Amino acid sequence: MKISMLNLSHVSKNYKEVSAVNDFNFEFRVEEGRIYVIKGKSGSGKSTLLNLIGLIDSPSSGTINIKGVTNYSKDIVKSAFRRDEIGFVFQEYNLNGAFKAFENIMVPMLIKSDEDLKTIKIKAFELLKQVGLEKREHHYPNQLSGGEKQRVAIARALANNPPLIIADEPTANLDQENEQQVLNIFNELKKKGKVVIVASHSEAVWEYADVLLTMQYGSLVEVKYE
Amino acid sequence: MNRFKYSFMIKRNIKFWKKTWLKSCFIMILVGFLMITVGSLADSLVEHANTNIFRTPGFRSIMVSMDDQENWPVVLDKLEVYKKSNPSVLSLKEETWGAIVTVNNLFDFVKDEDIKNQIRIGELFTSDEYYIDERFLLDGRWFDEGETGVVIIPKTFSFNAISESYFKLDINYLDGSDFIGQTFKISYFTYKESNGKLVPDQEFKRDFKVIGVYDNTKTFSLSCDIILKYDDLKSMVQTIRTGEVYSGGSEFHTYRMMVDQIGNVDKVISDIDTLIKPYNGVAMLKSRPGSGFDLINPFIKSSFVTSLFLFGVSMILQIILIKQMLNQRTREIGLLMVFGYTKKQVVRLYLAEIAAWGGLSFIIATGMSALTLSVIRLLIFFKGSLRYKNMVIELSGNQLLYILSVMLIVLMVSALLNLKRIMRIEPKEAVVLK
Ligand SMILES: Nc1ncnc2c1ncn2[C@@H]1O[C@H](COP(=O)(O)OP(=O)(O)OP(=O)(O)O)[C@@H](O)[C@H]1O
Ligand SMILES: [Mg+2]
Repeated sequence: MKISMLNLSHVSKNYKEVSAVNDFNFEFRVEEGRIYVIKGKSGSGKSTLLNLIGLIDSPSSGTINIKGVTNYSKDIVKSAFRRDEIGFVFQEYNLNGAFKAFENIMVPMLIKSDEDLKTIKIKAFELLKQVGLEKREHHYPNQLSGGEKQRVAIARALANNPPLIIADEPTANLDQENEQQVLNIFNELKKKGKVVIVASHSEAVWEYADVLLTMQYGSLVEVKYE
Repeated sequence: MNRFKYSFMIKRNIKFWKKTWLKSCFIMILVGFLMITVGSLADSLVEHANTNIFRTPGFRSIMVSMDDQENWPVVLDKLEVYKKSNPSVLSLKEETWGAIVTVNNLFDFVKDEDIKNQIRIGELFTSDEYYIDERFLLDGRWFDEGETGVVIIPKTFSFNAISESYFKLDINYLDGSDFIGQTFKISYFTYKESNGKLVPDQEFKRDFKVIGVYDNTKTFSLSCDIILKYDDLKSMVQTIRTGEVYSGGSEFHTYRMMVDQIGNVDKVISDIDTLIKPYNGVAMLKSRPGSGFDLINPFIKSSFVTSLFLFGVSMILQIILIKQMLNQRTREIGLLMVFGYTKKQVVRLYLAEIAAWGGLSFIIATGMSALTLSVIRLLIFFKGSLRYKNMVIELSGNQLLYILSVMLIVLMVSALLNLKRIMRIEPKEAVVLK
């Protein structure tokens, strides 16, 4: 599955005093696999931007056009539109402690009505294998290391095979080795034609970028094609 | 998403949030148990009253008597006409001063020498005329202090309101139960005159062991005065065990009119009264529901109010607990929204979990109630007063249904409101919340 369009025009997100994202204009090229990395000082608006692209937050103004669907209202944010379009990876993993590793991956897949539980389970195991965790399937999140947790979270983001993966500082809590593992996974995804948008402070991540965006005070100040 | 797919999430959530749920379950179990037990008890009492107390013929049996006996032929005609026109009148019969007597094991309780000449049956509990004499049952001799007398009682009997001033009894009615072998306590009084009135003076407490029951429901005689010759009784008991006994007639005629329901009694009495007044006749209800039933109403009312109050308090607690729990789980819910779960799917998932806990609590509460009720039943059977001895105490289906539905509705509504509130939070906010 491919995403046909990801275009931001005049996107702003304002809080009372700050403009977290300020008149952001950019068209992500999505015809083939790519890694976009967004860098910028703390507070420059990276997370806010990713939330807007990921449709889990709504912009104050402007339009985000994904596959012809324009996101400017809360309704779209609340809609189930994102279900198989976007996979989200959080810095804090956000795994559900009640579920085993493979079950965490199953949760997003349950909403696809055309697949039965068995198929979903098999897929979850496959995804865990893909992130190198085939031996941790039955572990609960609290029995996993940070790096393992993040890999489970990535596998979960891939659950519905989305063309677009958004990751907000996915390696911030990881050591170099684990960071490298995550980046390898992103690279694999890119090779499979997926678009990965990562916000990160880490130079190691920047090195993987096909396009490196720099934000400052909510605005896009530099675009570098590697 | 089908139900089958939900099940593993619900199972895991139940396990994971066990501790938080237990608080809530504890309250539900406790209050559910109280409500179910009290409600079932109240239902059982009402049922008992309806099926036993009010069915007792004494409460529906109107005595019609004439001062001028020669008026009977005319009055009887009028009564027959009235009976035909009023379907609630079941029968009209002349009072029979006799009864079919069933006596079992008399001589297990009485020694030959104790019964000198004759034995008095029935009158003991129902007559208000010879109250002083009631102190002795066996003709010819007074009871000694502490001695247990023997008695043959009517199968159906309701405590005569008038008699209450003369003696006290630990039962208010009997209805068809086999009381042979049981012991009654009766208090008699001697009276003295004070300001031209008779007032109770000394109290005599007597125990009576029931050695026989006579069936007065067929003969219609509710207050019999039966005196048997000892020899007659003895031969009767030894030979046929059941015999028809006639105590000798009277010139004084009385008729009894039986009404189908206690609720119709008052109307029939007033109808008959107007009918027979011109002939110097009187219609009256011989027996009224005694103090036994008076106890039930306050019990039901107060327990109902108390448990309703408790239920209310617990449900408020429940609402708070659910709110707390769901708040704790905001991130979890936000994540589902991020994954693209629809509101409907989220609501279904959490309501199923809540229903599971509610159902479990309810089942435990029901089990505890069932157990408690059977203990109460045993206690009443062995220790309780005769009036309630054979009361059927069991779980009331209506109460169960009522409590379950209120419990579930409260749980569901409070969950629904909280879920709605949480789902209004933008997913990104929900996800970062701790
Ligand atoms: N809910 C909010 N209410 C008010 N201000 C907010 C809110 N969320 C973010 N901001 C502000 O918006 C700005 C951008 O925040 P954002 O989290 O996007 O920065 P960031 O680039 O991701 O920083 P970091 O590198 O530290 O994660 C910051 O100044 C922040 O204080
Ligand atoms: Mg950030």
